Amino acid sequence: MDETRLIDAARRGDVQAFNRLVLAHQDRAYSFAVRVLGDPDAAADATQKAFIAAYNAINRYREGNFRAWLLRIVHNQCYDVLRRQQRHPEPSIDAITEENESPGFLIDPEASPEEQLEQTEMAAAIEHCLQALPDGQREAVVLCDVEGYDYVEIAQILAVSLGTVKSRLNRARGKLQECLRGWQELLPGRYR
Amino acid sequence: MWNWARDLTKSAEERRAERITAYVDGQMPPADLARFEAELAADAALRERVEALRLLKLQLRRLPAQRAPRNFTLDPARYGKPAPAVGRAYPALRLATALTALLFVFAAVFSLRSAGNQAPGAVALAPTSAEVAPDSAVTRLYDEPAAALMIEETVEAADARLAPPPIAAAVAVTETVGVTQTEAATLMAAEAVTETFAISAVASVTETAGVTETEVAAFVVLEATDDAAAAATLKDAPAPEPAPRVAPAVWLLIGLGVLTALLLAAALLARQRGW
Repeated sequence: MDETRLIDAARRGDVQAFNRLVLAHQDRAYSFAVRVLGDPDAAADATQKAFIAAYNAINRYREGNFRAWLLRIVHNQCYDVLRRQQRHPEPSIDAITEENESPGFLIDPEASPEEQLEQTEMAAAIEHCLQALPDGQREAVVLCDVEGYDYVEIAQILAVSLGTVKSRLNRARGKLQECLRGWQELLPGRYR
Repeated sequence: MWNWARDLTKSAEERRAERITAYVDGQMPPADLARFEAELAADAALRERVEALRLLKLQLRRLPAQRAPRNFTLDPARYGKPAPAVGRAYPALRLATALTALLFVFAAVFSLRSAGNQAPGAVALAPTSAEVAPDSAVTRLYDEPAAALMIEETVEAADARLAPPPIAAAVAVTETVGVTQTEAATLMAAEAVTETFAISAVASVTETAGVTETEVAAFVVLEATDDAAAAATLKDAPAPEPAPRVAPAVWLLIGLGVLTALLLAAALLARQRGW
């Protein structure tokens, strides 16, 4: 896929060309959104809105990292959702934990039943601890440790400095380690 | 940009933890890498922290992949050509509009404060109301006994302080020698001028009595012309000139307001057209 050519076509109003970009990036965008928001439905809505916003703003995209530009829009959409949630708070963490304990949401279908159970428990603990982090720290750790972006891309996506990225990552990991220590009794032996 | 300032506020432990994070993420500058690895070889606690962090990263990386529950493609029938890119004119116009609006606000506040601080200016701003309805103004003042008393006292004090003895003497002389009414009027006009300097003092008194500055101005002028000669003063003396500073300030405000409106319209147009 020639991304530059598709972007140029989308700029001229070729929606099908843009849709090819959507298909290439939608899993990554949704994965980021669902881990930031902790709610699959809200994440799907945010991702859809982000792609619409990206299409409308594609003429404002300059040369550079398209993936980072796209995830920046997803990040903005997620923050809109989080702001709305703060105005109308809901007991989201409990709901997320219950959701995350659902095997269909988390487990690798190729693993054995025992491994699936272990993965589910570990993943539930991590997801729970992720959701307990402040939004900025959660985004940084999801982008770096879950999605595998480097510091420069994370700084572009979150529109913060490299120093802020390092600081958020450091704090987020410290809190995650502390939180997971509280879950150790519930975790399989090999994760302790 | 401000990383150096943030670094100054970090504790030694925070800096140490960030170095561990950078090392585990493979983001440590090569210059620091050798030194950190030497520290790592010598410090078992540091090795333990590095291992704990690596384990955490591994656990996070093992989280199941999240696949999109559906395709997020757009319907070609519903979405036309994307919006044009915003050109360079729009940000410049937006900035110019903001600056002009700010200047307008500052000019308005400055003009209002200047007008409020200068009582003679207030007299000059509304000379017509004093001329048109002096009777009603004086009547209102006399209806407020406390205010009238205070004003009389203030005017007398101002007379004693400001009116130079030669003028008072000249008035007395004109009464004795029986000069013409016009000559007396001229002298009384001079006396009335000295009284206008007491307006600022009167204004402070009237604030407590609830009377406007315009009414006070009218009162002071009439008070200075109690006798027949003073009446002639009112009739013959030319109307007070408006304060020279007021007109340019008003024109400046109008100009800035028009400029702000024009710039705003241009900025909106530039955004709409993508200039």
